[in-house]
Amino acid sequence: MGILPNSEYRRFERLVHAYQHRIFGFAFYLLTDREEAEDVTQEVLLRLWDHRSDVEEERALAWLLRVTRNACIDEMRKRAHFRKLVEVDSDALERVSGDSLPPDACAEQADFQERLEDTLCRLQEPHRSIVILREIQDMKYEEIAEALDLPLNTVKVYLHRGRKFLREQLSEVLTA
Amino acid sequence: MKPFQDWIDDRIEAYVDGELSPEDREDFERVLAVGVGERDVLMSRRVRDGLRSLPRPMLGAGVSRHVLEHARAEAQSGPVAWLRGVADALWAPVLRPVLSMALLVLVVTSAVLIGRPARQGVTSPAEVQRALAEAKWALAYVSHVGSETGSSVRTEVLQPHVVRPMRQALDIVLDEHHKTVIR
Repeated sequence: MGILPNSEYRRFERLVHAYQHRIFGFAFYLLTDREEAEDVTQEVLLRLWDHRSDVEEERALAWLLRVTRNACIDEMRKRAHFRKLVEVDSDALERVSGDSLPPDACAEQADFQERLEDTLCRLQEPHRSIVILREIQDMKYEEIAEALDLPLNTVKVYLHRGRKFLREQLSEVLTA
Repeated sequence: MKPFQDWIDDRIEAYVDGELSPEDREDFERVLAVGVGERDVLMSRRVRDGLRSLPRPMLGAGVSRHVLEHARAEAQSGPVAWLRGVADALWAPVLRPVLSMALLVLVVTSAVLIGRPARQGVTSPAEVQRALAEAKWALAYVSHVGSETGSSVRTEVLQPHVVRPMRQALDIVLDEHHKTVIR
């Protein structure tokens, strides 16, 4: 490195390290494709660099998630067969799940998780984004409301509707 | 039965999340105690726990490395970026103390200069002579214009309103001059 990096770069680097996995995780569950999610993540981070002077650090996460969601929706629109989205990249999930569950934990649990992911893909927007951000990414209601530009109560109502949809769709598996 | 089922449906998720008010919670648990909605609550819990136990995928290091390299290359390209980098690096250890000291010196100097009494002005005889000469020429000019205009104006109007005031003004100026010379 020839010279010391400036403060803008250092701030950007900080944001990348803080939010890269969250952006990727969000894109991954929206697109259910690892490579596409990586492409979207890269695109979103480069856009953050381009808009570095417009984005306040405190609001960066909300900005990033909003841009990620829009990029994913664009990506989904590009796909000719939208229904094929339900095909989860199971290899990728295996890679990322790592040592989460022992093989004998229970086959039923694995089956349930697989069906849950399939059903999640059938959930409509914005319910899907809200369920991903709240339940998988463990974000606060306020953060989700800011990211998706929705009132707080609407976020709560949509989350409950989204989970109700999943519950109803999965009732067969759950009662088996 | 339908409205009752709707009432349960509306509250299941909030109940599982612990977001019902104490009164609503009590009512809801009273319903659960008789076995209604129990299965739905169980399902809701399983869905929620299932979602929470889904893997959180991690981004491969290659993507962020590529992005950071791109940003770094852009940040370092061009003289403006270079100067900014140097300024950022020097700001805390060098520039900030120097600028603070310069500001302090400026404030002290200004305070000394502002507090000093103003110097009294002295008019020299030569300056008075020059001013007098300018006054005479100005009056001569006014007199000339007056005489030109006077041909169309009556004498009884000119005497009190033009000639007399001008003469008085000239007398005052000459008196001032004599006083200066005598002093």
